[in-house]
Amino acid sequence: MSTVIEVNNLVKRYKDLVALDHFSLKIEEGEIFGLLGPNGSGKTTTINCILSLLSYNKGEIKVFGKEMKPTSYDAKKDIGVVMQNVAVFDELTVYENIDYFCGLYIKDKETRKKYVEEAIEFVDLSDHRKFLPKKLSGGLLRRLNIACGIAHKPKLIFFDEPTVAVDPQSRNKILEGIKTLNENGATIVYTSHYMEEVELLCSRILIMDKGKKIALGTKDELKRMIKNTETIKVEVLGLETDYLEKLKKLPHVYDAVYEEDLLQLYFSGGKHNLIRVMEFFKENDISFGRVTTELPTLNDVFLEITGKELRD
Amino acid sequence: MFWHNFKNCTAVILKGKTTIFWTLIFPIALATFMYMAFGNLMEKEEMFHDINVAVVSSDEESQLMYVIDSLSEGDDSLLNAEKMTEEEAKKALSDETVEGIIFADEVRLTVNENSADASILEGILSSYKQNEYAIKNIIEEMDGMPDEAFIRTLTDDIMADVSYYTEQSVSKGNQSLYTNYFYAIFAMSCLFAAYSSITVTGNLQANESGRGMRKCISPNSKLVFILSEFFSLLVIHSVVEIIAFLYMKKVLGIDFGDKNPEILLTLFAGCMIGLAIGFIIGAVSNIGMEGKIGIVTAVGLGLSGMADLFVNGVKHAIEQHVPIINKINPAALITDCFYSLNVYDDNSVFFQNIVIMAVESVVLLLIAFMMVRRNKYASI
Repeated sequence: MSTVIEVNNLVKRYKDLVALDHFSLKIEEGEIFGLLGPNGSGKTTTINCILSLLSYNKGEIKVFGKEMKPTSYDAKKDIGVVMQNVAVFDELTVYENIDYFCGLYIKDKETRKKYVEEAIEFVDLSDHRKFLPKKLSGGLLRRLNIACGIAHKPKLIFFDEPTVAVDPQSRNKILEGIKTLNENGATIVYTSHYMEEVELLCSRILIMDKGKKIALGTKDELKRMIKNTETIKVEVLGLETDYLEKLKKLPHVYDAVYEEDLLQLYFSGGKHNLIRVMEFFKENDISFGRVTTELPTLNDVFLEITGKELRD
Repeated sequence: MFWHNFKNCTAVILKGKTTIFWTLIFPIALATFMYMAFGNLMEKEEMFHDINVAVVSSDEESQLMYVIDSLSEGDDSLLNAEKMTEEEAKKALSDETVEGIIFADEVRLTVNENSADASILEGILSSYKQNEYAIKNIIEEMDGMPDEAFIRTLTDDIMADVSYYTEQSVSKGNQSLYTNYFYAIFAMSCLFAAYSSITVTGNLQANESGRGMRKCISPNSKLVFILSEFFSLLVIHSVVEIIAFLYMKKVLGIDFGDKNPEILLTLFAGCMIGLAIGFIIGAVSNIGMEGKIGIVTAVGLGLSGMADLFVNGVKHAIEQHVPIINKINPAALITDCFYSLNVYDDNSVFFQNIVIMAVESVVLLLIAFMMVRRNKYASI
């Protein structure tokens, strides 16, 4: 496996705002690499710098082993980008849009025709090939946006929040499509603030906030970085303070919060935490309602490291 | 890549319809309004009519009657004189069937109002009085009374002085003042082609549109994008100007003279410079589309204003004080092209202006390319 993208000590400032603060990353061939962070954390800025669209104050960017510049046409040939905003011509049909953007990469007409057909098939827009973009729903429009970015069969594809404002059906199709592209050999860089998508798709995840790298690893590695291993939530009416203090002393509990008739118990380690909690309620004859147990998410990782919710 | 992008740009503009509609409607609508406003004046200029005049005279053989009869004869007659009694003449004047009454015995004129026709009648009578005075002086200085034939010959000679100076056109062109206003429409329409090029360059800049971003990340030189889109727009705008030209010529009947190829070349060069101006404004990356539209409007109106398209005399003042501006101002060059086609048979001034516009276009396009070629944007 070779390194496809290498970013070292990247600094990007917008006047007084530091958008990227000595940011580094390395993406290997064949990965689905996730960039996860809240809005404004610097994900899109990172991509735009890598693509040599944005100027930056300091740092070094290499793509396919070579320094990336606006005139790095050899590298650009093998890059595809699916942008956050739909970028197509309103005046052209689905087919014409894909054909035009594919034609910026593929000169041979026959090859291009084949690629365009495959892209239409891939995003399942065969029935809409003659539609103008304004006639497409939000989900179909996103799929057209994807087709325009991947029709030329790039080796490296950037997906910048491709599922924003997309219905669940289209969202699933998009995620399945990304997996297929990866299986076909493309390296994927996927940015999102939806942690579920990143968890589902990505082989490695970089969590960023305020232009800085916060954590990097597989989803399991990231979850192991934090104290929390399980959160148990119990609906209970009028829990007395004495009981709350006793619950805090159960094995592996490192914190307990009782607010608005909901008890939340945070565990670090331990295999039979739920059984112990249920026994405590039985022994003390405390009535309770719904009980749920949650494994840590990337949001918990983000919360524990930054002290704020990923979706804030 | 050139043709691929050329075809796409052409298709987007033609299918978009809005750009093409406004580009076409602007010169046609303006020409139509101008035609409606000038229509009457233009007709008057072209169809100068005989002046109806009543003549009251007791002596059919008087010198003045002779002069009036001669002015009422032939294809280029000035008067349509009718002999009447005084009562008939006054009634005709009040009915406005005649513009005035000439009382030949007293060499006197009566008119109802101050009009152009009344002024001409006054001029004729005044001229007659001067000539009559001159003839009387000549006769008085002669020994004895000359015969009738001598007086007639003398009168003819003096009257003939009037036509010693005849209008001769030095070119085959049309020198109508009103046609120049229609040329001005073309000049402004050509400069406003810049609106199309700022839209197109917006689709070439990553910080202005997603489509621009896609183009920036594609493995293609910006020069290819700029040239292909420039030529696409040039073809479209040239066709639009030709349609507007044909509309004015065939439908409105404006006389543009017989130098059609040169006029079309002027329109082509005008579109070229208008588009190039748009490309350079569009290439400035740190102002938004609204700002660019404002700049194009200001530049278009400013350059047009300096070329007398709104107020006469500005161009002359510039020529007096800063003549170089007239040599490089595209609006002035376009109107100069039309003017030189109108006035001179020799096309050297015309071709000089065409070459200047071509050179300016190339320079502006090159600058636009230099501005966007390796552009990394500060923000997107």
